[in-house]
Amino acid sequence: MRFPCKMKYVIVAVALAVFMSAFPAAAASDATRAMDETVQKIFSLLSDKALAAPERREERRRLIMAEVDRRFDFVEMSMRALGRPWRGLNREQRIEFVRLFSELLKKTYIRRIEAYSDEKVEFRKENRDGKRAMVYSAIIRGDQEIPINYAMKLKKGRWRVYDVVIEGVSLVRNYRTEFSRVLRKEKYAGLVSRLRRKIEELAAKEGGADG
Amino acid sequence: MERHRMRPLAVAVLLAAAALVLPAGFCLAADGDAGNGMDMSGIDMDYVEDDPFAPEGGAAAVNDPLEPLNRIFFAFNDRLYFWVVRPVSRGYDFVVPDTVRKGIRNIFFNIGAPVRLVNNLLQGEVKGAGVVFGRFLINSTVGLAGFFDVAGSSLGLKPRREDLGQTLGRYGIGGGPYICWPILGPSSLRDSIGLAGDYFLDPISYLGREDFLAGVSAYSLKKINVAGEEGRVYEDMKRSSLDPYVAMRDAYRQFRESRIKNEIRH
Repeated sequence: MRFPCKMKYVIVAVALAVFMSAFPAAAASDATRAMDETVQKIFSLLSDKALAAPERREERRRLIMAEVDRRFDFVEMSMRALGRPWRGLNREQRIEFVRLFSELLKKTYIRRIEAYSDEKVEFRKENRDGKRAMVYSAIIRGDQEIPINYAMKLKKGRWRVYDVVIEGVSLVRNYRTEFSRVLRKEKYAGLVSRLRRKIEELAAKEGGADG
Repeated sequence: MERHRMRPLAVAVLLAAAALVLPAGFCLAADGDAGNGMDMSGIDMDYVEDDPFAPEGGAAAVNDPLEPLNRIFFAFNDRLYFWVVRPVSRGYDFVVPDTVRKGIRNIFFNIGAPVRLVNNLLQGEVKGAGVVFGRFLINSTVGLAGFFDVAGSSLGLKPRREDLGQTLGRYGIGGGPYICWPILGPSSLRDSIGLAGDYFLDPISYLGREDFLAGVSAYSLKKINVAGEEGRVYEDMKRSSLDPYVAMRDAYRQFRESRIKNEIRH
């Protein structure tokens, strides 16, 4: 009597396995696929000869940023970069902080994205824990490899990045260390004014000869 | 019995169908609102520390009793970089072609094999030690004294970087106070002790003891050869942070931790 009972589970397991492999949407690597899609889209924008014209620079930036906005969860990133003090902020302050922090990130990283030319991105593995995944990738530049990992979360059926770990250094943790120090000494108002100043400084540099 | 067998199957079919259909629907919905800038969903969520991928213990307490002095050295290094290293490195990079720079970097890396070999062994990484030894043999001969990384590019033998600081870390010794050395840059008490130990395994330091000037020249070439690359990383970091000193200190800690845990081996 026990044997058929076990058989039942075997059949279910086999059936599940068959369905899993038949429908890629259910596979364990969909976070990787999502990230890969974004990387490919950005690479195709960067390699588009027509978009590379200087007068279309702003347009190309906008298109790249639209892809970034789709894949990166700046709200979750801001929340984690701030840590516990996030709780003490009201809605307006939170929106203000997300705007400033994401602008700082975009202003610093767009240069790096635009500087890509003959690099290759390889996806290595993925660790999945429920609605979270860590996607391991590497940027290959000649004979050098830069490991970049994306911490992603499944929200409303979409995998989105909430942290980037470059060469073992987590962006969010790095900012959290910085922010918590500023918060301790200068409170939230100090942090906001420092962020504003930094963004202005970056915008000024952008216009200048540097770059 | 027949019904019992069928039910799980039906559930499986439903699950698979749902998995196929639901994400497509959600994607369409999400695509719609992604057009006009940032997605503010989650703004009302309270912060919760529930990250399965966060390193245990969260943010470690900052161990930096020498901060005032460290900041002076950090500022000194910053000026040294912008006033001396960067102009020299720009000139160097302009004159020396890319392939030659790569070759020089490879030669210096290859010479440092004894440090990596011993520290792989000290950590019980027998395979790692074998890789280091194999790379050294192949690159020193076929790779023309290490100029070409034949082992890496043709045989897929990737470097296994280990130093005494990492070995001590593996033995359970914490970083201790953060130290920002003049010229040498960020370190910790543990890693400084490691550096001093590794000095005796590094052939370049033997050159320096034979002929001080030759040692200093070799060290300078080794550093200026990669200064362009490293400088760009430093400038990016400085650009993106509110307090570069704190950003660098934390990046150094995270960087070393990932190497000690062998999450990254090069």
